[in-house]
Amino acid sequence: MDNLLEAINVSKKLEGVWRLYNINILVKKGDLVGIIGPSGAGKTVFLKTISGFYKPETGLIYVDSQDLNLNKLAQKKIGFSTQSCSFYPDLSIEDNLYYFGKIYGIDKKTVKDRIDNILEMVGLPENKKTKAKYLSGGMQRRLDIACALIHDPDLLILDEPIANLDPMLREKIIELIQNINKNGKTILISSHFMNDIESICTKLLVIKEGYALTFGTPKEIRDQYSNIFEIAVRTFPGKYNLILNYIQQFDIKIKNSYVKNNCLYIHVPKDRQPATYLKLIFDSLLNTNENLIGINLNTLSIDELFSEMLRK
Amino acid sequence: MITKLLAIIVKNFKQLIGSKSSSLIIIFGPLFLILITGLALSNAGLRDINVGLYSQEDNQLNDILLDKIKENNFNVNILNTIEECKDSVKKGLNHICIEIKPRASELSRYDSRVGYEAIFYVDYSKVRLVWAVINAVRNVVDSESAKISKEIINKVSQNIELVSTTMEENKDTLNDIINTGEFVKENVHNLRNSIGDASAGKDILVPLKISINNQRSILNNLRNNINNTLIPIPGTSQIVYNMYTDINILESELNNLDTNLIKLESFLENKNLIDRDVKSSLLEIENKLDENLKKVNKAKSSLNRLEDELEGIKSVKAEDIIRPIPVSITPVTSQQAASVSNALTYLDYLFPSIIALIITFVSILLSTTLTMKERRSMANFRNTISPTSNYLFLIGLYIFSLILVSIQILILFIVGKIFFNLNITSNLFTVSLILFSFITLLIFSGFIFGYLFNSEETAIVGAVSLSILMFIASGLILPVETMPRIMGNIIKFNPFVLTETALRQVLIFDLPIQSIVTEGIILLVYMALFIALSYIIMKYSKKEI
Repeated sequence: MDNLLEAINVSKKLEGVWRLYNINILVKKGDLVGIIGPSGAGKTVFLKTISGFYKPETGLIYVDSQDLNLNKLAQKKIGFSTQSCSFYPDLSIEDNLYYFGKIYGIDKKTVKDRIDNILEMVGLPENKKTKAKYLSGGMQRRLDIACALIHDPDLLILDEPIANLDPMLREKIIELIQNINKNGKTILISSHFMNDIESICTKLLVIKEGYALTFGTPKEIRDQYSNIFEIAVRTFPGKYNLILNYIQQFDIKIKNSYVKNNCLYIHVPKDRQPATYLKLIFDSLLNTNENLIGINLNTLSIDELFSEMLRK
Repeated sequence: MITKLLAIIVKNFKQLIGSKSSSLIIIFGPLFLILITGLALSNAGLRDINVGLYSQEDNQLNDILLDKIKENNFNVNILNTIEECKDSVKKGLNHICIEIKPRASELSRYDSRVGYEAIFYVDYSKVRLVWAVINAVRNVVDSESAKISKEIINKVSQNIELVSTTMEENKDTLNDIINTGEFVKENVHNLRNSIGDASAGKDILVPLKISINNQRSILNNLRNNINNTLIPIPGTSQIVYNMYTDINILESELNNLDTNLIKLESFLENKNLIDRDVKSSLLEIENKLDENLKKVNKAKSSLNRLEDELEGIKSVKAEDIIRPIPVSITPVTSQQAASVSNALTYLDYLFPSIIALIITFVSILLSTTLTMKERRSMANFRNTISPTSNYLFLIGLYIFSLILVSIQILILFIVGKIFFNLNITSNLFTVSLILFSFITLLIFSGFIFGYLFNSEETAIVGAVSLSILMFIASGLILPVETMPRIMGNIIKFNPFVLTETALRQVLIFDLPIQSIVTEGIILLVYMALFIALSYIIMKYSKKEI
């Protein structure tokens, strides 16, 4: 069986509020799955539910074909790195790793051997004796990933591992995640930065307000949602309402339009040739006496796609 | 499972050691506690008690009390008015105010000091101190009071002695009176008896008269015979004549005799009348004498009885009158405890309470704080999703807390033994069992607070409230006996009271384990109850706070 994680109709209620509705996901071994959604969408609740921290109200979760709620040992196959880091700040890196290794039932020698390997992998080989609280934000993130890996899980869940990190650090963590994935670990990673993880994920699950909007490969999702051109026009004096009113006279289905940074963005379906849209824009400029500064026609970026999904 | 448990305990210790202040407080906390408590309580009396003294006038009692109170190392403040004296107690300047007030007493003729009374004004809000102060000052006043009593009794005793001596002297006089009376009575009796019968002499006179009459008739017969016989006989005339002459002389003599007899009879009759009067008077005298003698004898026996009573009183000591029922207070502490030190200090007696108190606060607060810390810890999530049971974490935390509290108790015991020579080494096994049960139930009650509340503040407030509740409802502030019966009955089941009672019995009275079976069983029931409760509450508590 290639399936490592299977969640079927998982629903979860917290403090009387439904946070997840019938979520389904199938993760194969070696996959790197991105869970994407805006803040409060239910990403963390979903990850914590499939890790066994929360018990779902409905639905089933199988980890390597074992029912997670019936078999506590199935949790051994899961490693989890939380958004806020989950280790003891007063303990050293080594002590943290040793402790978490032990409570996962790993013998002393194996833990000791594994500590060095993992620290090497996450790039913290020099700081074994340093107390966790004295580590920088990036190092703490690495330590948390190390803690999640100490018991050699098959599935590594990373909850917002790149949140609140500077771009350089974000890149390094992404690189680390890719390396871990290459080393055979199946990874579930959540983020609200679609751009950052889209490139590394084999699959994406988009969640909004507890509902799964879509689940598939990035290409499948892009194909599903990228039938839109985005036209960006910058004019002077910038009476964009007049431009839009002009275009709408010609039975053009405008999916979305907005003004950002003194630039008009118009989303239109790909059912017509780009030249048709461009001609229409130029005509509108002539009719409204707007002077063109710049114009661009593109397909949507992944972030824009994501926003489009959420908007729907 | 054991290795996981060990890892949890070791992790907790590493965290503790990681924080120097936390690890130091574990050792120095109890050390300071016992040192300060030990120094504060290692004496057996009151010190630095301020006594306010007010007297309306200068008097001897005032001066004596002043000296005596000073002798007892109390500070005496003389105050000018009674209001000032009372106010000083209210303001806490003095612990007690004594007013010396004149009073009317019959005994004041024996001792002028008896003409005063001492009134104590105390502040009952200082519940635990007030009785100690009252007792201490009362002891001073009582000892002086007893001294005065002794002096008065000695004076009364001297008077009794004097009465006794006077009575002894008077008893001799009385004896003389009785003896003289007896003598007079006897003589009167004899005299009365010596006076003849009223008919005395009659028995002699009547036969004498009869004899005379007989002789007279003999003479008549003789005369008749002469007449009849001699006269006819001639020549007998002379003889007859002579005979008649003799007979006539004889008759005349008889007549004289008869006359004299009549005179004698008359005389005798007169004498008898007088004798009867004398005899009657003598009888009266004798009766009066007898009556008087009886009275005097009665008086004498009363005197004797009085003398016996006085003799009995004389042998009674003044001490026995002052304290007719001698009271001696002997501590019921064990032989062993008593042998360690002749005078057990407050610390010895309070040690069980102090231990129970420290354990209560430390155990509940420690376990509550550790639980909250663990629940709020960043690592809580990772622990929860690990294949290790949550109950194992709870057991790990329990063992860790138990070790910490045990270390503290050990420090208290060692310091108590070495520095204050406390009797705490006897029945160590039993003491350990009691402490184990108590610490366990407290740690688990701390877990209950830790899991019941989601904020550290409320959990700690809850833990402190429980500790204070156990402390207040323990009899340490107010004796249980002073509370309403129903409250007293409830308080008996307070784990603090049960532990304190059991510890006192074992540590101070050196009683065997059998004597604390009831307390032990109740503590074990509590322990099981708290373990079960903490298990349930943990199961249903929020996973994330």
